[in-house]
Amino acid sequence: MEYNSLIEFISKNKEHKDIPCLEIKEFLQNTSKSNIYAVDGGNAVIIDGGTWIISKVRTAVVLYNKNRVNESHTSYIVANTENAVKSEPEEEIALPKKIEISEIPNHFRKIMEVEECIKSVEKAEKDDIVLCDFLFIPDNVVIALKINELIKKAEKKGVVVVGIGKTSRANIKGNSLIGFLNSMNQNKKSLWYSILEPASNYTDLVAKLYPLSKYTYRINTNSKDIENTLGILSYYSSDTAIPGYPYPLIRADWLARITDNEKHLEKTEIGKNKDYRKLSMDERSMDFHERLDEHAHK
Amino acid sequence: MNLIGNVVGGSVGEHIVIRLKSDSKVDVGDIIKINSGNDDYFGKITNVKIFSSVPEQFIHEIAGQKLEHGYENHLFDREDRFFRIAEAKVLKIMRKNVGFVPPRSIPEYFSQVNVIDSSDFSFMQNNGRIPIGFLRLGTKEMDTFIVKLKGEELISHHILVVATTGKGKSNFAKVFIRGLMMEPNSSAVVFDPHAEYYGEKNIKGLRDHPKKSKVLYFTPRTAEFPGSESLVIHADELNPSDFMGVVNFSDAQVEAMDALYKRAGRKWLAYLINTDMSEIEKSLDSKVMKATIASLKRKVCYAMELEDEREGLVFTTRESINNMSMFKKVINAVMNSKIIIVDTSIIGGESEKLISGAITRRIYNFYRKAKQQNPDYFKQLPETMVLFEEAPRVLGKEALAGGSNVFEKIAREGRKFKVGLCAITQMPHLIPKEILSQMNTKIILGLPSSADRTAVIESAPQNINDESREIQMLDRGEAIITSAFTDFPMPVKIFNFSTILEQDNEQMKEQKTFIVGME
Repeated sequence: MEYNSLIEFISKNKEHKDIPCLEIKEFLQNTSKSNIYAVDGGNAVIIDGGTWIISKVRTAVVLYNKNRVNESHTSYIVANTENAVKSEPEEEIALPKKIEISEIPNHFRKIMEVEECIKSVEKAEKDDIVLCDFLFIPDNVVIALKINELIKKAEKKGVVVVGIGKTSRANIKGNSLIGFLNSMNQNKKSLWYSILEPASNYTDLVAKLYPLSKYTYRINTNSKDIENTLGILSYYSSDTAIPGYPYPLIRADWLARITDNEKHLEKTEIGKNKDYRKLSMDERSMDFHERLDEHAHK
Repeated sequence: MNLIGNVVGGSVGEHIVIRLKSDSKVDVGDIIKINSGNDDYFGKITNVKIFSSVPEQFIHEIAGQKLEHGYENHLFDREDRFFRIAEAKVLKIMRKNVGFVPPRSIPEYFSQVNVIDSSDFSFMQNNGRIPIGFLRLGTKEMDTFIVKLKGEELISHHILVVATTGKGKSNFAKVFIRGLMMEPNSSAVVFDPHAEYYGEKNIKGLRDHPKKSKVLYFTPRTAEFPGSESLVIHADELNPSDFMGVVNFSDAQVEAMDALYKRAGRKWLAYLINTDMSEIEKSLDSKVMKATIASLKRKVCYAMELEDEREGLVFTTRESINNMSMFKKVINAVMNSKIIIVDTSIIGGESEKLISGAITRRIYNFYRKAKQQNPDYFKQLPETMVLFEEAPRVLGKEALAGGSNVFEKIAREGRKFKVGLCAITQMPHLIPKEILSQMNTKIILGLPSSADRTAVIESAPQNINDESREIQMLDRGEAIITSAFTDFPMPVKIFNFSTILEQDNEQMKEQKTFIVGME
């Protein structure tokens, strides 16, 4: 099948779908600069031995108010097919019943992220915003419990928690939800949002945070004053270099990210351990793709 | 000290990369100090550029949002993401308990970088004698630190002054000569094609200096300058070699000159000019054709600017009688550490070359003979500097294509005989590399032409590759001095001659008042 026919196939199927009309509301940017805590996490597998894994996970918090404050926490996790342990402090990680070993670092990163959000809520004052780089829709029970704890604590302190999904596969009858909303507002240079579902403890919505942005994000929040919260988020999303996405989250992403260079350094350090040689044979079970990449014509 | 940034990169022998603090004020040419462990690195800013952690395409988009859509730029953490990077070259390293060491290492990452101020110049040796200006940090002059050049060695190892028009070549020359006037054992011969060194009605010059008695002025305009010496050269004082390198002669013409000199001795020129050509041909046993004699006569008369074939502005075919020869006067003045200024402002090009060449040859030969015949006397003679403008006219590739001249000889071996050149030019690229590299001190004022900059940089006694941008941007009076006699290329703001002249006169008045008061 050629590209043209592929595109035709997708377009035809879209046309026949009956899409309900969602209510779109406009809002204004709010420059009242509330304290905003942005939390993000990053992880990388340092060594994959097939039946075991060593991974590095880092979370970062950036507080934006008069003076910017950065904070980051790093942990290492070691996991095998049975269980997983994290470092500093060393303790076992609660795992859902069914999880692939390769998914454990992601799972633990999400836990660390939610825990970091909880810590930020504890530090925050009433009406401060804690901005999370995840939606409140959990992957499993372990994370569901943590998210629940986060929302409850925020509710109790009067702190607004906002979760942002950078990408979404949400759809209405097979059509991309965000794609559909974007097409409806193609030429609009305004800030707008549309509530998908007012849940009991948080609202699920879609919003565009910068007039010229080509991106719309799915947002979950416990805020009672949605337009005010979105107005503040819009202010923090007005950085001209990366418009439309909250800048504090970008900053947190830079801090939390584990670069390839860092990964290689960690691997080198581990390789210096004399007992590691026995284990290094296991790596051969997983690293052939890397070997191929090294030989590939780039 | 003023913190301007942190070290973020670099390599030995190239440059150090500095991330500048957002509110720092840094110019190319600033002198910096970097502390790293036991070492203090002294360096010089050679380039400043803008930098961003935001990828280039986004930066273009940011500009577009304002330009195309009228959206004001709003950037969080702007100073963290958009900043300046400076490049610096290491000049010297001061190692704790050791002293100065050559720049063979590099400071640690994130070492603090400070712009130094006047309280921190101990690392600069300043044992020269001739003050020429203030140390310059970028565009700022440090009026507490006077840069002084060594006199004697500097002169005999030649000086090249390069700059485009209006950048202060002549001002530097006057300031330097003023310094020589203060020296007990230095002399200079200055060929002045624009009549700007001695001073005129409305132009302050060396005649206005309190030490004006050290100046001897030769001019064809003696009536205008009471006390000046007449610039007159008698034909019988010239010999054929004075014309070599000044006028392009054919081989036959050169042979004719030699034959005439053999035939008429000192009076060869008068004989050539005043005698009938047939008679000359006959007297030379018809070995020289009449046509050759005619064209030789025409060329010589043209070079000497003899209007009626007897008298010119400077040259005359009259016999020198009682008057002391101008050349002898010059040699006497040189022996007495005087500054001799020769006014060539109303004289044509070839004639000027003939005068300057003839005078310089006699000085050079005098020193050579003195060294050969009386070494003790030679040692007592002052170092002599021959200063001339538009240097390519005598040292340029074209000028030397017809054969060597005395200026080239001095450039190559003058240092052995205590005679040095101070060549001034706007176009150093016209001078052969071998001669440029003989000029061991280069006073570089602004040079916008890349060919000229390349010529100077390639022949500099120190590595000044990194200074190319600075040289291009130098403002009037700002200079870089690269010399075999300084530890590194020195940024200088040359004194304004009029200002120091006033100061010297004021100082002299004060001294006189003090002496009168004592009486």
